[in-house]
Amino acid sequence: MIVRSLVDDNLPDGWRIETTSVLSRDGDNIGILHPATLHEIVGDEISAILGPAGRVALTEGTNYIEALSACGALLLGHREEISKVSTLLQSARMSRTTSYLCSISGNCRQVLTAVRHIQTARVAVVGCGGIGSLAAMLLAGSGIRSLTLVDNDTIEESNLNRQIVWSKDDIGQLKSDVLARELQRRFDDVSLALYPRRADRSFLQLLLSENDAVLLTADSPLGIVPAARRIAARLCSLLVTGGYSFKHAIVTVTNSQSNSAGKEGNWQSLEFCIPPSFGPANALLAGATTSALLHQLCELADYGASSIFGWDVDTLKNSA
Amino acid sequence: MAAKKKRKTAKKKRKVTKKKAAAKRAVKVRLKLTPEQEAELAKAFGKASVRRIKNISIEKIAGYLASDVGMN
Repeated sequence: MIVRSLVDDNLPDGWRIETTSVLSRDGDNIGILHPATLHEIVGDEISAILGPAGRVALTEGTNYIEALSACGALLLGHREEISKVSTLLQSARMSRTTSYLCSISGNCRQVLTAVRHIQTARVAVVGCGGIGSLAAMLLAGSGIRSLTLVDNDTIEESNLNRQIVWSKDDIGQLKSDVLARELQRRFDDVSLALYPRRADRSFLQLLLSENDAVLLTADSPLGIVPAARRIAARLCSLLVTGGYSFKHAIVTVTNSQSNSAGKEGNWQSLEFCIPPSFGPANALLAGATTSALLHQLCELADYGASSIFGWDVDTLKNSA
Repeated sequence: MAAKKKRKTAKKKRKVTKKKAAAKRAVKVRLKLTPEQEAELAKAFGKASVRRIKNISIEKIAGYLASDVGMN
């Protein structure tokens, strides 16, 4: 490739970049070059580099290695750390997640800490419908290896238009059972615990104390979200919720900094209540909730004491 | 004649607005380093190199999609 030979031309003597993303100097491994680093080519020269921190122009006198560091494309580390990150970047299961983690980490050690947090975390998904089923897939896909699935619902024909995990053959079966089957088909390193039951307050309390994080997407019983937030704040546990209020998609993050105070309302729905569930917005909520949960779990983001994010689904404008 | 002059002025104005918009897009910042990262860089490349790295200006753009750069 042309870019590869230009990169080699720009490296000082003794420096090498391996195809495994390892950067070495005189045979010593220095760090990982972010594998998604882009080079802007003008004529037959590199004019700029694009890394996680932005674009750096390679003007006269700018050292190529220093430019890589400035744009956040270089993750330094010890020999062992470099080797482990490089191995993760070559693995089919974790390469893309690791590449993403390289984009938000300052060095190899941070990447490995984040991966360890993900791979050792126990996460409970309460509600395995439109948001929860997709969220469970995304969590397992990102590397979570221990999942608890809670839902007492069975699959109905009306679910098929937006809950993409099920097919017609699954109608009548428990959502938690079918989700577990589909998760095992994709990821054989995930251990699963299934609870085909409703999530009442005492069970939520148990889940919050026994897991590193709980993702709550169930819409019943009514008032479960504020109740769960209060319990999580009291226990200093990580709770992420995702759901609708009419056209508003809402995500909340409760963590060890949150306050458990707040009044309890008594809202009741009518007997013919049909809660909104819009497929594209379910995917948005599944992505937002799992992303918040994983970043908070890895300590790569701090959502603070009181975090509520919301979007108007029609305009995608912030509504929190 | 007056109409021609008006058109020219309008064109000039549009050019300035485009330039301003481009400048707005390309916000330049410097790399923020944690003490740990700074120590690692100093160990790997030396203190003088860290000073130069901290002085390199970075264009904060939303990836190559927001720039004119094509991907090969």
